[in-house]
Amino acid sequence: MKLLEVDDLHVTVDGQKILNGLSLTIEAGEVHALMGPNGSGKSTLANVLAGRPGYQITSGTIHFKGEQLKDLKVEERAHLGLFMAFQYPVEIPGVSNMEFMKAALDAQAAAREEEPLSAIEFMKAVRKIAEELDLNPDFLKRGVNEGFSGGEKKRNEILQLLLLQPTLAVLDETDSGLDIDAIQTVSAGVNRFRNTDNGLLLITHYQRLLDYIVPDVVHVLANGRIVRSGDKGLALTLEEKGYAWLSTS
Amino acid sequence: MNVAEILNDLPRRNMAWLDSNEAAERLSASLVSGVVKEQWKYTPIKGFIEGFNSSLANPVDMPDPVVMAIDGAEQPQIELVPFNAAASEDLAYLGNVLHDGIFSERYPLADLTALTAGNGLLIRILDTPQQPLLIDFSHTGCSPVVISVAPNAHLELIETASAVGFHSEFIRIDLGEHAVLHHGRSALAIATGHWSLLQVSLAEGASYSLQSYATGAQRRRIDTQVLLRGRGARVEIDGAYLVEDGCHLDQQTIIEHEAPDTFSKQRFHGIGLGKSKTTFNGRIHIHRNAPRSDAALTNKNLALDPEAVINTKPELEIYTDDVKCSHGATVGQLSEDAIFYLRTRGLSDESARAVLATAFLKTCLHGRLAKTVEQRFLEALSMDSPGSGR
Ligand SMILES: Nc1ncnc2c1ncn2[C@@H]1O[C@H](COP(=O)(O)OP(=O)(O)OP(=O)(O)O)[C@@H](O)[C@H]1O
Ligand SMILES: [Mg+2]
Repeated sequence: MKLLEVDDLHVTVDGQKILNGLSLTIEAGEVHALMGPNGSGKSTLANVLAGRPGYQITSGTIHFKGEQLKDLKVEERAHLGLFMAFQYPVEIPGVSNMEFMKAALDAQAAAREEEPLSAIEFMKAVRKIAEELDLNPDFLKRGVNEGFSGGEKKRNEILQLLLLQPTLAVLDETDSGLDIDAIQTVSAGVNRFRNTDNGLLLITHYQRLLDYIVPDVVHVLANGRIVRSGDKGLALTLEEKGYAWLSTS
Repeated sequence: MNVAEILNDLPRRNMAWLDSNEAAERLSASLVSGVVKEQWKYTPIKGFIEGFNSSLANPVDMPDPVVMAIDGAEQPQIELVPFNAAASEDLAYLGNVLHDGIFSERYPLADLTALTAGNGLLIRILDTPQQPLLIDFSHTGCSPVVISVAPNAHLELIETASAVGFHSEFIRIDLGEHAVLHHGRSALAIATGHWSLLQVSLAEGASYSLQSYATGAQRRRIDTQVLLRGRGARVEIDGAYLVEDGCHLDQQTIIEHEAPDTFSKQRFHGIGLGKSKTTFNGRIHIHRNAPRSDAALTNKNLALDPEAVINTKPELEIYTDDVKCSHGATVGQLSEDAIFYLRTRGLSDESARAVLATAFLKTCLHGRLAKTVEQRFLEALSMDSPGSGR
């Protein structure tokens, strides 16, 4: 089943063309890696998928689970099972992490007409995931990402991923800022999340992550479009030869 | 009736604690003075007085001399003395404290309040009571109050203003040496008009903490003045306010550092909704003879509607070199990045905004009143959000 289908997508931000004819299809059960030089448009794609205001689709279409994404509000996309782990998660002082995650879960349950978790079930679930990710439970009481280190913020994103159990998760450079041990813990968490019904889009600069979370397909984005796709080997070649190799090969 | 007629009609009772002719003259003079023009820039005082008068002239609303409910005063450490029953020693004391800034050009409504009330209440705290003292200004009318806290005594004072009609009160609190006061106050009713003056004077080593919470009203003006008179006196104020569509709130705080080694720290967070008018003016005055004073004030505001008007102005007057002083005032909007983040997790736009606005106010909410205040703020915020059925 097709989870995500991006077809000939053109996007402008602040009047500037960023994506120029990007096409990408992710089937259920697949992991896709998206690589590419700084400024090539990777985060732009993630933001467009999530529905960030100010990102204008000038042509092309995005379907998620068969629905036109651009007709859906940001929160409706989340309710439908889309998740984005931010490259730079925002700090929200005053809103506790715990309170925030309960509100998110409740909102999603309500939208899907499901019973919300009880407070106790919720606490149990969160504590268990925090433990798996080696996150000190004290983080749950603090303000969302408030004063978290770079790596702690990234782990907090994965905590939310594991709690919300979306169908498609876009992880924007989750590995950047993680120490070597944390990459392994986080990857183990993500691998536990994987199943035949969901999908992953991993945005990364480093092939090392792909040793832990093995992708089915690797894409290279340059100047707003996918210029090369291949298997895991493509990432290794890029690591060795750099992006310049693409234009010569 | 115009203001001149109103002033003419004020009762001129013979009272030992108040020279009513003098009060009436001072009131008339203040209304035309430059001080009042400046101090009442954002709250037209004449409209205030007219509204006051028409409300008080209504016999149904005719107030008791002191229109407040008190709880906790039966404790042995607490003594109540109505102004009109004060013996000579108390009268001398009242005369002193009431002429220590309250009866002045700056606060014409204090004279109006005194003249209209005709009485007042002196509360003496002789020693540390077991229970907090609760005061509620519950009815239309005017209430002069003086509280004196004996040296070394500790008091918790919870003061609310629940009246929905016009009302005004001034409260003078005297903290003796090393006395400690925890004071929570809230004004959460959309009153037709409300003026409140709180003046607190601290002797050496006294310590005062205030949590001050308010909503807007048809007209609401809150004046706060803290006099750090004794060496090492300390005040900490946390305030939160929310002004709903069509409402008005004008708050003026003054901290007078009059002695060495005094400390003040103030933090106010406020929100304006709809077409509201909010003013916050925080003045810090460090006197020449107050070296090593440490003063800080932050005032942060969120305008949640483009039509919400918020004025904030910190004022610093420093007359000695050896001080630490900081102040900052901002008016901003909710962070669009934070709203987006919450929405990507499934919260609706409205609830994301409500969550962020509540968190902003909650930073300054604590103490005994926090729950009630949070509830009141939450209701206002969810009422405001589109899609809530309003
Ligand atoms: N608001 C904006 N106005 C103008 N240009 C923008 C705006 N936002 C992003 N861009 C530009 O869009 C391009 C793509 O940015 P994007 O963040 O998608 O890159 P990226 O591939 O994620 O890069 P990185 O690897 O550094 O994270 C960049 O050149 C960036 O400067
Ligand atoms: Mg990026």
